[in-house]
Amino acid sequence: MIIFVVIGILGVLIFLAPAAAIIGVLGMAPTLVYWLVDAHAFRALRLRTLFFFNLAGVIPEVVSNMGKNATMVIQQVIGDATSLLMMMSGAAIGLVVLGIAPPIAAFVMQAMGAEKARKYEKQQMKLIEVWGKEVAGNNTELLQQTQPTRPKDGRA
Amino acid sequence: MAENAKSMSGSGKSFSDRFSLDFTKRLAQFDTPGGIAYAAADSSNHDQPAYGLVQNPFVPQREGPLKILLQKHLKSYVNCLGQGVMTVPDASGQVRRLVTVFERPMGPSLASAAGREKVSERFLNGTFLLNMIMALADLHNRELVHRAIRPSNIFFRDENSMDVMLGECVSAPPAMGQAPGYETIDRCDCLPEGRGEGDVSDDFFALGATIMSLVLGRDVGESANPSVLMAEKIDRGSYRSLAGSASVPDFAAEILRGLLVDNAENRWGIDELAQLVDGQSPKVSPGTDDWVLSKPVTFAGGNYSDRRALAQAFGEKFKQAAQYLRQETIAKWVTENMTAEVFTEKIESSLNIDGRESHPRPEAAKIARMCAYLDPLGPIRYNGFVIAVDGLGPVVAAGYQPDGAKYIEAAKELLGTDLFQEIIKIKVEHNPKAASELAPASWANGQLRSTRRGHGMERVLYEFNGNMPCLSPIFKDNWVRSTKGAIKSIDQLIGTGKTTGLFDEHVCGFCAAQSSGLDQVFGLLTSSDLPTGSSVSKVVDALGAIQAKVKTGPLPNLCDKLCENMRPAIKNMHYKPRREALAKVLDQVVTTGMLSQVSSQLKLSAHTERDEQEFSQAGKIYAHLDRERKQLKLNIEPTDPRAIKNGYTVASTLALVIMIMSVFVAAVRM
Repeated sequence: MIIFVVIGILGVLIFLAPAAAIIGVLGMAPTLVYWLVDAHAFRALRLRTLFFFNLAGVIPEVVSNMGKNATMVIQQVIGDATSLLMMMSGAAIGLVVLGIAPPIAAFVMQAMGAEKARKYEKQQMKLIEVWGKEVAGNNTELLQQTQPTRPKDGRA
Repeated sequence: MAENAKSMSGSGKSFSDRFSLDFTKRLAQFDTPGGIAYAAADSSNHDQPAYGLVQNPFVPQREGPLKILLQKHLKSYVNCLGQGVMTVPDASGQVRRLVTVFERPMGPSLASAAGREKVSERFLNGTFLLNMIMALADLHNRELVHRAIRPSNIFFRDENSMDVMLGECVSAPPAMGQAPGYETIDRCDCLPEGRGEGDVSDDFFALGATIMSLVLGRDVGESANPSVLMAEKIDRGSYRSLAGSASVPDFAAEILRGLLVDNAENRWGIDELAQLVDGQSPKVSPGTDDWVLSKPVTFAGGNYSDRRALAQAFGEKFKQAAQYLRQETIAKWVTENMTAEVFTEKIESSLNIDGRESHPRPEAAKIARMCAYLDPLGPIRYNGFVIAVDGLGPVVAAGYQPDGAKYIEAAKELLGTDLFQEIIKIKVEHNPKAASELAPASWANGQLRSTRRGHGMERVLYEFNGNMPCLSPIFKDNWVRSTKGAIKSIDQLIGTGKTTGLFDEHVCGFCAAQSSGLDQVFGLLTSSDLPTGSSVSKVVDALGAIQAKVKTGPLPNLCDKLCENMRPAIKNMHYKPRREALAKVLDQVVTTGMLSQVSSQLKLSAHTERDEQEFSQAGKIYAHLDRERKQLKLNIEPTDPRAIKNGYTVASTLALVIMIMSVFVAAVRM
């Protein structure tokens, strides 16, 4: 949907600021290519991420060329590698972020899960303390791990 | 239960701080089937001669008459002065027994006096008849029937007096001590225990037989064989049968013909006797005999022209009778032999002579129904037992005597099946009074079919004989006659170390019969021992309610034992804080001896239920936590979809933020 919104905006810009529209189309080329070729399970998330990064790189260039002659702008942008690089760098950063986000997320989730598991374990131990080991039923793994001290009648 | 102001317990050889018994002075002339008599003293009235009757626990007193006669003073009657439980000597030592103290006539009984000389006309038509009219009028006006009128139970007030007193009639079931001759045709061959309550006409018949004995100078009631006596009475009429070959003096002939009429409706009563005393001559009308067969029936070598006699013969030889009736269809047999009777399909169906029989003794059952049809006013004749329709209660009581098992078996076969009700339904056609026995029989049937504690034959025993003490072996040396007494005695027994067999069938049946609402309590007991395990708290709740209801006061031993039995239930509770709190409460209330307090303060049943519910919830929570914990502890790879999704979500948010910042910076630069 965002793509269609962007196409719409570019369509309007063609008439109002043709130079900016041309730069925008050129600059957003990586996202367009990605949209056509990506078939990942989380395609929408990936595309959105790349789009925002790409746009973040393109917007300064579009803004600085607003109101200029379109032919001159095209010559200037094509002739100036720095300008092209600046625009594409956003998309590049986006691709890098997409690459490193799952491992980082996995690491963080693992750390958070371990903390939560310890909290659950404490709750389970509290239940055993007031209800006796029978409360565990067949789930005896924790009991075997912790071996809490119990009176002779087997009650807490 | 007649527990009134006059019936109080005593601790030694006296009771009510008033009556004492001299066990060295036996007074055998006052013995009855219900008890043996000793000289007694009434400390509140030293001029009142008295005797005390030590009650036999296996013989029920007559509840209805006793209630009234303990309160009312009748003329020319041996009145009850009081009743209470006291310690009496026994072959095995000292036992607690119920003692009823009566006024003691100081003269001999008419039986012993008549043995010495025959009764004069002046005495008979004067003092004797007046005294008897007064005594019977007093009784009958209170809707009481004496049922023990015989020469040996009528006494001269004192040695020199001509005044006579009617002996007591409450210590044994109706007519149990009567010789068969003092009973009417309908009841004379019944078991002594099963002669039934009867009605006022039975008293007048017994009075007639008594007068016959007095005027003839011999006991006309004695008969070696009640069946022969009954056959004679049917054949010759009671008057001729009792007189035998002796000649009845003219002065007694009229009154005897009037009192010994076999048709109860035509028998003389108080009005006719009063007329006779006034010098008038009441009419004697023997009535019509409706029981003659259309033609004599030959059965088992005898010829029978009367339905009652045939019923008696069928009842005695029921196996032969069953064979005899099998020879032809019942409808044909009845039509040929009893033309006066309209034999409908309904009657044929209720007799069920030719059909299939589900009763355990099919032949006896078929013949019992046939006898009921032949002699609707007569007794039940089943398997050799002859019991009046209204006389089953004392027969059940007789079944608990050491040699009485056969009575129990007969009562079970009658009441525990539909047979008794079938018999009553057949009799009701000609004997509407019998209908009153249907409801108790139906109730007893339900009791005997039930296997719950507090039901069964023992319950029937105590419901049918409201004055019986509890016959449980645990009370053999005691006399327990109320739920309060039973529970207090059980408490004492626990104090002596007995803990088993405390709630046997007798105790459960007795208490359930005495106090309403105990069915549920005894339904919780699975054995005769004190309850343990999960049922104990419910039993404590129920016994606590009874303790409060019957006001037993503290029951320290029972309370202690039951609380002890409750401890495992508390110990088995899952929730530790609850366990500890309840144990503390139990320690506090056990000292009170009040089960009602244990019940109200502990509320163990509710706590147990709540504990189980909450434990189940806790188990579910634990299992859920365990599942979650295990899931959280699993290793998360970068390829894990959750990690990818979360990573991309965070990345896309980050990208959005950067993009917005970029727009903001660009806008500022413009």
